[in-house]
Parts: sequence; structure tokens; C-alpha cells
Amino acid sequence: MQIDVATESTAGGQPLAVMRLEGELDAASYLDVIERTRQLAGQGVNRLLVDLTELSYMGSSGLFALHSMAMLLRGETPPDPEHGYAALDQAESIDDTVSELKLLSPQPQVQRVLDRTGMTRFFEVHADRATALASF
Amino acid sequence: MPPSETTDARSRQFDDELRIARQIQLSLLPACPVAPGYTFDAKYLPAREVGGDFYDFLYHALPEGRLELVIGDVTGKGVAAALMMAHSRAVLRAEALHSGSPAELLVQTNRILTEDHLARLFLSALYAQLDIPSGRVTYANAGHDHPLLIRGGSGDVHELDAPGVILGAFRRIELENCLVQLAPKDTLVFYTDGVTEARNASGELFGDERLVEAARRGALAGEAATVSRIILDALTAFTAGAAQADDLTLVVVQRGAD
Repeated sequence: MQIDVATESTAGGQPLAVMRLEGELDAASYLDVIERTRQLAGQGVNRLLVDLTELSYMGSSGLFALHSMAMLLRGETPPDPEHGYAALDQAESIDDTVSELKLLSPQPQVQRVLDRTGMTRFFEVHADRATALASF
Repeated sequence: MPPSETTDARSRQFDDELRIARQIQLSLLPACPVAPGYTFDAKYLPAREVGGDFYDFLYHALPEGRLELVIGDVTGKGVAAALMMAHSRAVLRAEALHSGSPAELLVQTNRILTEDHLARLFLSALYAQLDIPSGRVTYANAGHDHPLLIRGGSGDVHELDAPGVILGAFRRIELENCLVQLAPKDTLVFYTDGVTEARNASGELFGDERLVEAARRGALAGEAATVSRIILDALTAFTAGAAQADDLTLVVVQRGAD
């Protein structure tokens, strides 16, 4: 899977990144996406638009990645998929992340996974890039 | 002992332990229930020795009482998913003893999964209560694939939509109880995404449409075991020997002709 990141800023001057995913987000690639988000968070980025336009498939590992990415943007430590999960207990709730991680243009298979697992209740989904960027 | 022999011995020991784990996991999956006026069937095919899918049946005063059914899918596969599966099944069984509705039970299960430290993975689950005499089904869906209802008279297939969210990810969730009435000869098909996301050698997904078509064909052809067989036959023909990437589970409930 290919990951491209472009940095922008919100109308208020806050750092904002657009992460474009191309290919399949599955068990083979989800750690790369989390790591890239960790780097962005380390650079002070706490708003992220994930462009799913070219993502052809998302498995359950992708759900785990989105959840972890949202926590990273909040400055929290997500559960380490290799070494335990104690960190999740520190999170009172992830509901507040709605404004910090948003999704752009998922393809039907990806939209189906997001809908069925309830992820769209927690992450805004936009069909249009300009509207998505303006919503931060 | 030379290093290669040590490695071989460890590999054999690991294989033996995986086989034992598989036997234990299979022993957690119950036999299909026997209830007058209904047939049931369940199929469980892990992608590896052990897997993260599961199903369960719980009984309340059968044969004339209530049957409870759950189907679940832990994210990931292999040993980690299998451990989470066993834990989730135990939590759901414990909650079933004192939670009222399916939605309450799943919300309470989510609270436990997110509070304890074992919940390294997420769980999608659908919990249904079947009132045997009336055929009324009450269900709640926590981020799981929507079951199919095939009407026996017409062969119409309905997807049982219900809003929900996966368990183990978010602390505060809300779920809804939904109702559906099973008429004589109606069939319910519950499944995990290993069915719809099975791929052939070209990478193409089996998908919803093929599942719906096979489920309809099966429901009109015979009882629950026939339905699952026809669906699995369609899946096998489609994948044509391509490696199974994900765990796969099917549970079929059919109300007989009165």
C-alpha cells in the first residue's frame, strides 16, 4: 500500500495533514499507517484528513488503524498491537476525536466496512476534499 | 542436540500445542439445538489452526421456550484472535445470565471488553433471541455483517439492517433492539465477513450478491443444513482453491412449514 502525506493548515492556521492511502489497508500495511501518523503527531499535527479515494480494500486491521490514529492525534498512546493493550484503559472516551480525524471519499467496499462497524458514527466522512478541509 | 534438531523439536511442540488449542476452541462451539418446528446448522472454518470467529447457542426452557444465538468475529486471526474469541464468548455467556435484551447484553459486554486489558482486538457480534413458539426474533447488532432473511413463500431476500458499532473500541456505545417475525419456511442466514470477503485467484471478492443468490437458492431447496451446504458449495466454486484468507462462519436458522 502506498501512503502519501501533504501538510496544509486550517483557516485558523492550525497544522493539518492529508494522508492519501492507495491500495489495500490490511494486516500487512496497517502498522505503517499508524507509524506514519505517529510521526505526524510528533511534529505537532493533530488534525488529519485520510483520503480514501484510491483505497480499494479495508479489512478489520484498518479499523484498528483508524482507532489508533485517532488516539495519536489526541496525544494519547494507542494500544500497541504487538505488545499489549493496557493503554486503551487510559482513554476515557474516544468520542472527542471526531473533529481531529476525518475521512474522504471511501470506495463502496470501504464505506460498507465503515458503516457496518459503526465507525462512521465516530469519524466524519466527506465526499468532497474542499468541504472536508473547510470542516476542520 | 544440534540446533536444527532443537528447532525441529520446538516446531513439533508448537504444532502439537496449536492442535490442542484447535481442539479446545472447537469444543467451545456448541452442537446445533433441537427445537420443534425449526432446523439449525452451523459451519466454522478458521483460516489457520485456530481463529477469531465464533458462534454460540444458549437455551431458556427449550423446547418451548427461547433460544439465544450469537455470532462474532474478532478482528485479526490466529492465536491472538482465538484467545480474544474465547474471552469474548465467556463474557457474553456470563452477561446472558443477567442482562435482559440483546442490546443491553452487548453494551454491557462492550463495557467489560474496554475496561479489562485483554481487549487488544475488536469484536463484531450479533445477538438474537428467538421465541420458539411465535417465531419472533429480537436482535441487536454490534458492528457485525447484516443477517439475511429469506422469505419462504416468495424467495425474497431481506438484509436485516440494524445500527451498531463494534465492541472493544469505544467506551460508550448505544445499540438498538430490532424485531423480525419468522413465518413458516422463512430462513435466517448469519455469517462473518470471511464469507463475503473470500477471494478467488484474481483477487475478486465473493461479495454480497453471490451470497444472497446462494442463500436464496439454498433456502428454497431444503432445510438449514442444505442452505449452508449450498452457500459453501458456491463459495468453494468461486474461490476455486485460492487460499482462505479469513475465518469463515455460517449459522442458518429455518422455521419449518407449520
